[in-house]
Amino acid sequence: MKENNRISKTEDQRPKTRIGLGFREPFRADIFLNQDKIDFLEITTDHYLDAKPEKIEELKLLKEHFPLVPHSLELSLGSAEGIDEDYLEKIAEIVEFVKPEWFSDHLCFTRSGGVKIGHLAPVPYTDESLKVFVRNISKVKKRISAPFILENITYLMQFPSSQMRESVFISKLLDETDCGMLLDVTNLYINARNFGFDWRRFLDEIPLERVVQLHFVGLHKHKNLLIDAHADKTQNEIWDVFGEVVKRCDLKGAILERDENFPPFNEILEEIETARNIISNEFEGTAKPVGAALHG
Amino acid sequence: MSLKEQQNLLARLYTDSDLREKFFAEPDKIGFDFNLTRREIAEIVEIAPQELDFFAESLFWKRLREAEKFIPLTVKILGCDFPPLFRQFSQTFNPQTVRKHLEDALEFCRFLQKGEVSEIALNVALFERTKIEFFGYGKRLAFCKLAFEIEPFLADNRTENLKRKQKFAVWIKLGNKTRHFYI
Ligand SMILES: [Fe+2]
Repeated sequence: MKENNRISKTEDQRPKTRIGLGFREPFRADIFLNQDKIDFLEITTDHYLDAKPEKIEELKLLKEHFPLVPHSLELSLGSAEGIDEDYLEKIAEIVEFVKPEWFSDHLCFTRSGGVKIGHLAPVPYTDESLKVFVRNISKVKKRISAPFILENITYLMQFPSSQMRESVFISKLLDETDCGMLLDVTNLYINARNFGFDWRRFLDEIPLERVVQLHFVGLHKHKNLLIDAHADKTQNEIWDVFGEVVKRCDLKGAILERDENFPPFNEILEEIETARNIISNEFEGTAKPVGAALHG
Repeated sequence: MSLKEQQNLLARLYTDSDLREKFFAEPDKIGFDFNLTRREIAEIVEIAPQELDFFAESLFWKRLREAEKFIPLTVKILGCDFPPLFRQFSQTFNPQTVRKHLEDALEFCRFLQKGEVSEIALNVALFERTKIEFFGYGKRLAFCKLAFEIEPFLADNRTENLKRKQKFAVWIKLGNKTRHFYI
């Protein structure tokens, strides 16, 4: 991080980084029982689209008790065929209902030519892909006024046709779209290990002042590959990346993103507490860059 | 370069193992079918096949793991036949709604009705399919005609000595209350 991006902060300027949890149904009762330990929740928008009345009631209840940030899965911002207007409209309705500080989706494509891939697929890092993202994101921003932040995904394959590194691609994209970033530190670590690059260099190359929120969760080992199964306890190597990121930037929030293999809830709370402690410890005596994406 | 045509092909390669095999055997033939130029085809060929395969496989297993949550009894009764059957099914169906996993589970149960699985498995799949239609799609009434008494299987997964007997499994919603019974 360049020196001129740093400012000193006094205690009363200390950013309040909220630590929260991705809401999943099995957590419901425990979340309400432990409301004082969870600063905010991330909801998966897709769980509330065309939903039964019970789910809508659930969303209302969550909204009454927690600050919420919506996280969508299928905007398919990297689709060269463009944005699915119907889906965008539905996301817009959820965001308008929740009135969040920000909402997010992923740097990927999930459909093309009538085929839904079913998960987040990478794009080649080329000028053409960049144009596609810029065009699609501008459509989203035109329809939804809440700040939009973009998440880095894991990929199990690389495109030799890429013209730039992922970090450079993301930097250009954030600059051109004026979006914030949802930095998934687990995804970053997994990609760095699977494809042999230095995650610290990645951090050096992205505009950290645009990082608004983090995702963290444990990685999963499958033979000689690391996978984002969202099913494991956060390991020390992920906490290292987490610590480095919080040292370098002002965050609005961090979300534990556990989807599978749910442990007893006290283990979830312990991880939230660990994240909170890392942030408190890192703040002591450490200056950070100015957060820009959501502060301007 | 046309990213759109490339993505059309990639989306198919990720979700269709037969097409993947054909593409790596005859990339030009498949690529031209997708309106790609030689150069665009070459860019996809350059992707390490084992990386592409691994990604596609990870998508398949994710899809299977999500769908199986909705049909635990069908998965149980099919045992080790479930993954190959789900693979066959996955080549034929691409869910289009936001509730893709529910849609997958429902369609898989329908798909089984056409295949060669045991009559008891067909009954269990029909039972779960009707249950999904009732709970997942907010029906007020759903029922199915079963050829076996499947209650012992529902209770403790026992498949031996299930009696052949015609019954209707019924789900009904009255006000806020749900009732489930057999007649
Ligand atoms: Fe994430």
